[in-house]
Amino acid sequence: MVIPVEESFEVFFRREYRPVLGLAIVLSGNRTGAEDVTMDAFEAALRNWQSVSRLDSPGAWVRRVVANRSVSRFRRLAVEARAALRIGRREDLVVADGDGHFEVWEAVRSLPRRQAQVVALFYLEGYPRAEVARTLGISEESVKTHLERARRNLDEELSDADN
Amino acid sequence: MQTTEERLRDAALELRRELAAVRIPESPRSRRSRVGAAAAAVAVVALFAAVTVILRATAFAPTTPASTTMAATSGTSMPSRTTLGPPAASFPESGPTFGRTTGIVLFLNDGVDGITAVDLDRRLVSLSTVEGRRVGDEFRSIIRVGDKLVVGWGQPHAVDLATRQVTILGTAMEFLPATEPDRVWLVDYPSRSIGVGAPVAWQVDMSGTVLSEPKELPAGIGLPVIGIQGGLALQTVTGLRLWDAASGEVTRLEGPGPGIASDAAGTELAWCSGKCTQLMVTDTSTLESEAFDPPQGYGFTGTAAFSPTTDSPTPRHLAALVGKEGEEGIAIVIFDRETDTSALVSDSDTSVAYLAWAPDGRQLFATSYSYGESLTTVWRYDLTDQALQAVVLPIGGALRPVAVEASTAEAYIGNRVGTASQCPSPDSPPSDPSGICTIGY
Repeated sequence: MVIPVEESFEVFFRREYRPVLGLAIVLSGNRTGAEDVTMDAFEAALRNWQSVSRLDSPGAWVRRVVANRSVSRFRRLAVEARAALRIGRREDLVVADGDGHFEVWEAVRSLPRRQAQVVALFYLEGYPRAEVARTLGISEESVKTHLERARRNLDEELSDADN
Repeated sequence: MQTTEERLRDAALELRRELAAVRIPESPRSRRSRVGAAAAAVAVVALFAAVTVILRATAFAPTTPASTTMAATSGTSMPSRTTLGPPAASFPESGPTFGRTTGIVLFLNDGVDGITAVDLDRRLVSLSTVEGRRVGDEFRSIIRVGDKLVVGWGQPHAVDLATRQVTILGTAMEFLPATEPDRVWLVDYPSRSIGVGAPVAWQVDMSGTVLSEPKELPAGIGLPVIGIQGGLALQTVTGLRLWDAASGEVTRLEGPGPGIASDAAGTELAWCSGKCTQLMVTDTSTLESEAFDPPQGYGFTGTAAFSPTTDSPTPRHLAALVGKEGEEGIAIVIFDRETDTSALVSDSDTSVAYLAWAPDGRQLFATSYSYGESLTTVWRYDLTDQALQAVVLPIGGALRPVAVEASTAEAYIGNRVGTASQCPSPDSPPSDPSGICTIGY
């Protein structure tokens, strides 16, 4: 049975929108910007749907787009947001939801780009290492290494924050 | 006391709960259908066809952008993390990539630990790791300073262009470009996280000699991002601040939103703020500013590059990227400050990510973002004949480029030309005994 392209994109979008938005929020720290990046990624998927829909995992494709764009586009602003927090300008910020865990995601965003991506996919999406590797286009061994380093860095970062 | 693992899992659980309550917006397809554009939206150009664009620069006053003969868009596939993609025949069958000699090798940051050197005239691509580069150092990871490349974070290195000899510049979380010749700023954070805590900054030359006493910047005044004459420019949520290293004084450059420092040369700093409706060039010694407007309908992205100062202390040209609200494409605009003219040299169908002037300031190169992809678009704009050309190269994994004279880049181009299958991806060490893996395209 051939599924009409239009229907399959709609199903894909409805299934994937929320988790992909979550990934963008974690990596960018900016809810409004995350929504933009997420929608941009789905628009890109739509434009290329004939090829994207044939991939083993269109969801991985859109996540990779979001992972790359979130970090590159918002890295400066995210760092700036931290600076703003230190100088008490919290009202200027629209940070990731879940204030109770703000420090955790803030610490994740302070990691090197690849570590942050791996952590977001592994913990938020609950992906196994192999799926993280496939999504980011790196080896499973690299994922393991990035996860280990990320955990070490987060241990330091979060214990500093607690103190 | 929760472990980090437990905190991460709890944070993920809470965020997933919140996401479950998020209203799913109308899909892009539905929106397009509603405006009657669905049919066009579904049209997808097959994987790369030939792309050769020659655009004549157009004075952009109130006119529409230059028309383009670009015939294909990037049919984005899902490649593995690779550097070599399917053939992309967007250049002549033989001879220089752009049909004429450029004298340039583009050094593309491979985003991992090396450089992808593209000899545009000989049509060679060489992959090699660069000592001092480390995974995770993509942010400002490669710059050219005199006859050196500066790379790395944690322990920035200077790498001689001709010999690849390496000098450790110091121990610091990152380096930032300086406007003074043959120097860089080293910036360290006691927290070991860039942007967290009060930074300490000092200047070094290419031998690692400390030229200015390390000084702690006031905590919370902003994020240092680029050197200006005698100090650093810092980004804040409302414009920039300029820190003078000698006096410790901080000067505000107020803006309506987050400041972006785009480039600096001599005493000048190009920057914008908020939505970047204007690009400012401020003389940091006098604080006098000149404002540049984007072409009608466009806004600046914040990426801009002064042309090299070959025969004048003030850069003559300023290239900047501009985009249209709600559209994905990014175009190039060039301001000629001597003649007070400007030209939009590509239209918004292009997707330029980075700019790199050739050392002589007569050619501007631009590249697409291809990290994790397998094709890279390279644009070349020639100031002499005002022509823009574009080619799609069968390489990916490319971030910010540096344009280097071919005569000085030989150490990055291997002697043995192999096949694509012999060149490993940047995730692996190069297999060539010389440490350089070269293929032709």
